Amino acid sequence: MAETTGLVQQLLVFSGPSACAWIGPTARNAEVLLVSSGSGSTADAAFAESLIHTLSAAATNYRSVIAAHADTDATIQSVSIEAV
Amino acid sequence: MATTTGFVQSFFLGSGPLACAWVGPTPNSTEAVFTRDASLAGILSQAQVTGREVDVGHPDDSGEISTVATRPCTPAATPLHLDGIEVTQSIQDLAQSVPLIAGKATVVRVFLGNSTASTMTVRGRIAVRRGPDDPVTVVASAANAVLDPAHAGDIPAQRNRLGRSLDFPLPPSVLGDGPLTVALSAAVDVGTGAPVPVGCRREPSVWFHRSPPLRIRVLGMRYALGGVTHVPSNLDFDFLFSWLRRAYPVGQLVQSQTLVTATAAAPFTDVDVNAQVAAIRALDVDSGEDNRTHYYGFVSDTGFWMRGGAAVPPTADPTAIASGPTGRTAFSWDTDGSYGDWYGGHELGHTFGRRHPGFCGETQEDLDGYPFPGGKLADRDDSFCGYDVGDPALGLPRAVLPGLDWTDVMTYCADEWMSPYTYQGIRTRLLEEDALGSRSRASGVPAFADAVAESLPAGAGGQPDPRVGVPPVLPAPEPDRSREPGRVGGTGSLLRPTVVSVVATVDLTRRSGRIVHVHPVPSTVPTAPDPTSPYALRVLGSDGRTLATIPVPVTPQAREEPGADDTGIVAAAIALPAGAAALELRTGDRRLDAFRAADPGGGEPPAALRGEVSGPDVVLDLGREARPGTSYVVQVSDDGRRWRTQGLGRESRFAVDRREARDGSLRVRITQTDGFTSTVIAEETIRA
Repeated sequence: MAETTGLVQQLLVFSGPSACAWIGPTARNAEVLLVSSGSGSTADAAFAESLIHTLSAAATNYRSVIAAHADTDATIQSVSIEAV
Repeated sequence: MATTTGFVQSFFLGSGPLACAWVGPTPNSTEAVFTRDASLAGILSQAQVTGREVDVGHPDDSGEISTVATRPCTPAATPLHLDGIEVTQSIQDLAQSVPLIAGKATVVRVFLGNSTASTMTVRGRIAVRRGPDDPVTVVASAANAVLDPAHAGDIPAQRNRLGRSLDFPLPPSVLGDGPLTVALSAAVDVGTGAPVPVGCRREPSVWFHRSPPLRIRVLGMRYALGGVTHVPSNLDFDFLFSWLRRAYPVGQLVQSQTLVTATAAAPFTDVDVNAQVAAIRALDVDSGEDNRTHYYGFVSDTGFWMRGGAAVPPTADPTAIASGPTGRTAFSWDTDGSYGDWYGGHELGHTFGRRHPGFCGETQEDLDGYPFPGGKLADRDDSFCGYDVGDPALGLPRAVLPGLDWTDVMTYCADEWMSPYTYQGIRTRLLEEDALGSRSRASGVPAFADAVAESLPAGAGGQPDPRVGVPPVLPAPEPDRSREPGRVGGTGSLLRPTVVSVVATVDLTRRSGRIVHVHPVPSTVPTAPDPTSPYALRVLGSDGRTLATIPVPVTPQAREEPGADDTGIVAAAIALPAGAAALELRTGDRRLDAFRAADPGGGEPPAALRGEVSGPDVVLDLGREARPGTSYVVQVSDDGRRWRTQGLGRESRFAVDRREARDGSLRVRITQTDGFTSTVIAEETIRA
C-alpha cells in the first residue's frame, strides 16, 4: 500500500461523484490521485462524497493529508489528517 | 449515553465508508470514536481543520458516534467569548484565504466579545505550537484591548480599530514553513488582575508557506542642480526597505543600496533614469549579480520632483526597471517622514506585472480586473482588512487598515496599502521569477549568488546582503576564466566580448526611439529574439553591410497619465557577429537611431587614480576624460569576483558611495569601453 503525503494543492471535482486531487509538499511536487465512485453502489458513492468533502476541507484550510492507495493504482482508498 | 468533548485531533476516512476520529483537549489526550455516516464524517473533518470544539455523543459502551455537534457559545455561562481568531501579515480575511508567508512578520488577532454590562479592559496570552509533540511557545499580547459590550459578536467593529482586539506579534522562531496551531491560553482583567474565563474556544491551525525572497538593489540617483548635490536620505532608503518587508508577500528581503551619479542632466525624467539603471543592471548581472534582482532608481525631490515610471512586463521578467521619487512632504496623507516607501512599492509593483486599476486619476488598464469598488482593499466590512505590523526601529507603530477605508497601492488614491489582489499577484510573479533561476551567464560558471545559494541550507532562498549582518558563505574559487573565449582578465587586458547590452528608449505611439547605452557583457546569455516586436537592432560591418537583424523585445512602461504616449524600454543583450562595427535601432524599414563603435585601440591607463573622501562619497580622480567615442565603467567589489557598477561616463572624476568600502578600503575596477569592446585600465584598492 502506498501513501502520498502533503497539502491538497488542487482539487478537481466531477459529477458522479469523482475527483482528481493533487497532493504533495508543493504545487510543482505533487502526485495526482483519484476519488472514484467505484461500482456506483450507495456505499461507494457515500464514501466518494465523504472523501471529496474531507479533501476540500483540507485544501481550503492548508492541512496536510496522508492518502493511501494501491502501489500501482492512483485511486484513494483512505485519507488521514493527523494532529497538528 | 456518553459525550466526548474536545477538538478533533486526528481524523481517518476509509472505504465503507468508515471514519475514525480522535477527540480530546490535546493531541495526547484523546478518545477514539467512529462512524459510517458520511454527514457525521463531514462535520468531523470540517471541525478538525477549522479548530472547532465538538460534542460527540455515543453509547456508554461503544465508540460508534450517534451525534456530533459544535459546541454552542453561551454568554450567560461565560460572558467573555472568543468571537474569532485571525492570523495576518499584511492583508487577510477571516477565512484565512491569503496564504501566510514563512519568515514574514505575523500578528495573531484575537477578537473577544464582552457580553457583560460594562466595558472591560483585558490583556492575554496565546499558546502556539508547530507540531503535536513540539513545545508550546507562549506569547503575550502587545497591548491591552478595551472590550465594549456594544461590539460583542460584531467582528468588524472589533477588527477595524486597533485596541479592540488582543494582538499578538509572533516570535520569528515559530514562523518557519509548516503548520502552526494557535490557542488562547489566558485572558486577564487589567482592572482587577484576575483571570477571566473565555467561552467558545477554538484552536485553528494555519500553514506558513516557503516563499522566495524579494531581491532588490536600489540606486540612489545623485544629481546636481543649482550648485547643490541631491541624494536620497538614509531615512528614505530605510523606509522603502521597511515598507517592502511589511507590505510585500515576502519573508526575506535580499537588499542592497548605493548612490550613483545620474548620467542625464537634471531635471531628468524617469525614462532617463530607467535607461541608466537598465544599463547598470546589465553590467552588474554580467559581473555576478543574481539575475532575479530587481533594480530601482531612487530620486530625491529636494532638487526637483521626478514622476515615477516603470516597465510592466506581461510575463515574469526581473529585468524590468522602475524608478521613483522620494522625500518628506509631497502627499498629505503620508506624514511619517518619507513617501518614497509606498511610492516605490507602487513602481516596483509594475515590474511584477501589476497595472493601474483606474479609480483615482490613474489610467484604467486593469479596471475590469480589479475586484473591489473604488480601488479599496475589500468590498465588505467583514472581508479583507489590512494590517501594518509596524517597525519600532523607525518609530512606525502597528496599524489596522480597514478594507473599506484604505486603497490599493497600484491606484493614485490616498491611504494606500496592499489589496489581496495585488498581494497575490506579486507573489505569483515572485514564484515564477524564482523558477527562472539566477544563472544568466554564458560561461556556465555559476553567478556568485548561485554558488552561495547552493551552499546554504534548503529553503534559505538567496544570499542576504552581507551588510545586513549575515556573514556570507563563500563559494569555492571560480575557475580560471582567462582561457574563456572573449575575456582576458587582469589590468590592461582587452576584453573581447561577443555579447553587448543595448538599452534604448522607444515611443510606441510615435514609433520613435533612441539608443542610450551600449556596453559589452561577455558573460551574459543573449536575449531571445522577439519576432512579434516592431523594433529590431541591425548589426552592421565597417563597410555598412548588414551582418544581422535581431527583433528585440520591448518592455512597455506603465502609462502614468491618461492620453500619454505608450513608451517602452529595450534592454537586450545581443550577440555580435565578427566584424561588427555599428548598430541601428529600426522599426520596419525606418532607421530611428544609430551607434558606431569607435576603434578601440586598446585602453589607456588613467593618468592617475586617486581617491578622496568627500562627505558620503569617495571621489575617484582618473586624471583625464575618456577619449571621444569611449567611456568609463567604474565598478567596486568586496572580493574581486562580483563587481557592482558605480558610474558610467566620460568624465575624469567619479563619486562612489563610501558605504561600498570594506574595512576602510575600496576595491575599484575601471574599464574603458567603446560599447563593443572594453579594456580594464585599472584595478586597485583605495583607502576610503
